[in-house]
Amino acid sequence: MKEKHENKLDQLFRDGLSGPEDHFAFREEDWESMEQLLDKKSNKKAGFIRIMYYASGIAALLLLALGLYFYSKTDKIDPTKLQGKVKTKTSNDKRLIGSPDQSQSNGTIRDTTTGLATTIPATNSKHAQGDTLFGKTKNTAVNEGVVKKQSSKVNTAAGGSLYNKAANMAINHALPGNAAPKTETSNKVTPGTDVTQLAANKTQPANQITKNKTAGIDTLFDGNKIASASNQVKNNITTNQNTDTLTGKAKEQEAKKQMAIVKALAIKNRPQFSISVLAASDANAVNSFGHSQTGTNYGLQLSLRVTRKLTISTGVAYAIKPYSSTPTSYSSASYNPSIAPTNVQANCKVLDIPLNLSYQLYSKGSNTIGVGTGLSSYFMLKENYRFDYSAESGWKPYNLEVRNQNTHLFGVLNVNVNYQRRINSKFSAVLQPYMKLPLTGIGNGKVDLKSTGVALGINWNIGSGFKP
Amino acid sequence: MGEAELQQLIAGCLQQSRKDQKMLYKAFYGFAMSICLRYAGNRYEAAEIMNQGFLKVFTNLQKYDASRPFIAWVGRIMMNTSIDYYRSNLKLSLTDDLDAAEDIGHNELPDQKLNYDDLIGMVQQLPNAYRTVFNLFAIEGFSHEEIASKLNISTGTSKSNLFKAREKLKNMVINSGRLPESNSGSGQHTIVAIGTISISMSVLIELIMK
Repeated sequence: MKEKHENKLDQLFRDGLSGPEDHFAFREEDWESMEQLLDKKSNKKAGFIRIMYYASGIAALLLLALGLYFYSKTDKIDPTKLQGKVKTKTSNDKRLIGSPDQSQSNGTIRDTTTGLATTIPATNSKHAQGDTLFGKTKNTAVNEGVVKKQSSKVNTAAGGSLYNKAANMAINHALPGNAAPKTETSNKVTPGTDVTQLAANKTQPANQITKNKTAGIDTLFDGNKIASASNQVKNNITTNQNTDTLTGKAKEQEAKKQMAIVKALAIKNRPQFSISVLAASDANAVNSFGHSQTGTNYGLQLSLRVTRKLTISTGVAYAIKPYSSTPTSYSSASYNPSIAPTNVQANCKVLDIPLNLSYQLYSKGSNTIGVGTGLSSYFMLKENYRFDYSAESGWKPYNLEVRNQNTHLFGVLNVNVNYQRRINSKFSAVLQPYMKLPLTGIGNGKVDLKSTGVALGINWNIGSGFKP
Repeated sequence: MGEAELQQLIAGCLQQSRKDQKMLYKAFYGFAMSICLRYAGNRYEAAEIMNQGFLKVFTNLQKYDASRPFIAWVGRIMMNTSIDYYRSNLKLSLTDDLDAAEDIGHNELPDQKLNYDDLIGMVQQLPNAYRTVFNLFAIEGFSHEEIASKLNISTGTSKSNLFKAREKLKNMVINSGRLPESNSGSGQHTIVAIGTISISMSVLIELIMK
């Protein structure tokens, strides 16, 4: 088509515009901006890596925190769940150790045992008579119903035996029936496993008797669930016998350790984690909200309740922020034509990483209201700008795209109000009006980009699921 | 620049040597600028496009096929970068489908010599869409079909934009012939110079007389 008749105008320009390479003197400032680009390119990569680095760092911290939390929780659960068992264990230890210290922890056990023990005497005595070798002392003790005497008697009786400790235990606990018909009382008491163990402890003193006693236990518990308990007792006895050989000190240490752990965990119990998924619609504007435009946010927020009222939260949000700006608000180093644009239209994709602290003002029933503040870091992923010029200038709109070049670490102030309504023990609905006020110029144009909006979402309370 | 020297520079750039990058940049600066300036609205934009083009050159240097001329590769990158730069407002067009574009600018052009600055100034005054098509068609020698596929526009749009571009350019060329401003400008300079000299002379004479 073109070859038909070479257009003169085209030719004029082709000839005039070709081969002007020497026409342009090298300008150092162009190279400088080139260098900046090259640096940014490496920065861009580095920036991406940095974002990933931060993200992975945060993720790692969260995982670590969660991990620790769960770990400590599970640790906690063991002792708490087992409290009955643990107590029995510790009590076992104590029995074995026979030191008076341990008896302190058994306070609860004592109560139950004493209660039970009082009811038991009559039946106990019968069995005791037949079963135990120490029949005389026990029987008399039971008959008398005097606990202390019994214990003292037992002490004397057991004095010859291997287990002074058991006797001491009995004294310490001030268990009325225990001392005399050890096994029997325990049997009756067994509904609480603790007691059985205690009983078992008591049974230990006389090794010879154990068999008889356990037998007695079996007979006593026929109809009851206690059969298993009796087995346990047997086991306990056997284990006790085994452990008896261990040194008392080691056992003591173990017991102390366990106590320490239990205490520490009980104190630790407080912090609670929750995860929120939030979506928000907000108004973005430069300087004033007169000409605001609507943007969207999607975010994930992790909260840690430090005290009953204070919560620290962080997370990550992807935000799309469109806004329009006057050229006076938009200061750009990279674009500086002789004619000032009439308007700058922008659309920014931002990664927003907030760090907020919120304080609970009100909490009644399932409603909670709090206020929060904190700082956000903006990672400008992609910024698109369109510069519009007045009709008289004859300039066409000019587009600029900037990627991953601007990062504002803690450059934005967050202010929010948080309303939560509990749906069930784990989930609650969140309504969060917020405002984001820049402390530095945001984006390529260093604009004073404010956002205000309302976030809606669901909050999942992880912590509550693991409460003992 | 000799071929060996160029290869050495390229190798240096591949090693991310900033010094070699600058050498290469300098070596192709004029060439790249001449392309970008044609597509750009002004020197600022041209420099920005050129730098983006060079960034592509530096980052994609390993993809360069050494069997082909390097300068052509750079030129193509610059052209594509320019097109990309204005891609969002390339669709500007008139709906009239015009083969009449061929008829513009045949005979009415004055037989004057226009220098590079005049011509590039005219091209830069064109709207982006017209300028891009004119560049691709008149300077680079692409067909309307090629341009249409390159710019993702219809051939009709391409033709229409070319027509508009030529029309505007023709007017500019004709008008430029009528205004010998450069002479009047220098004339003014001489007048001003003579004036100041005469005034200073009279002041001097007065001083001497006193």
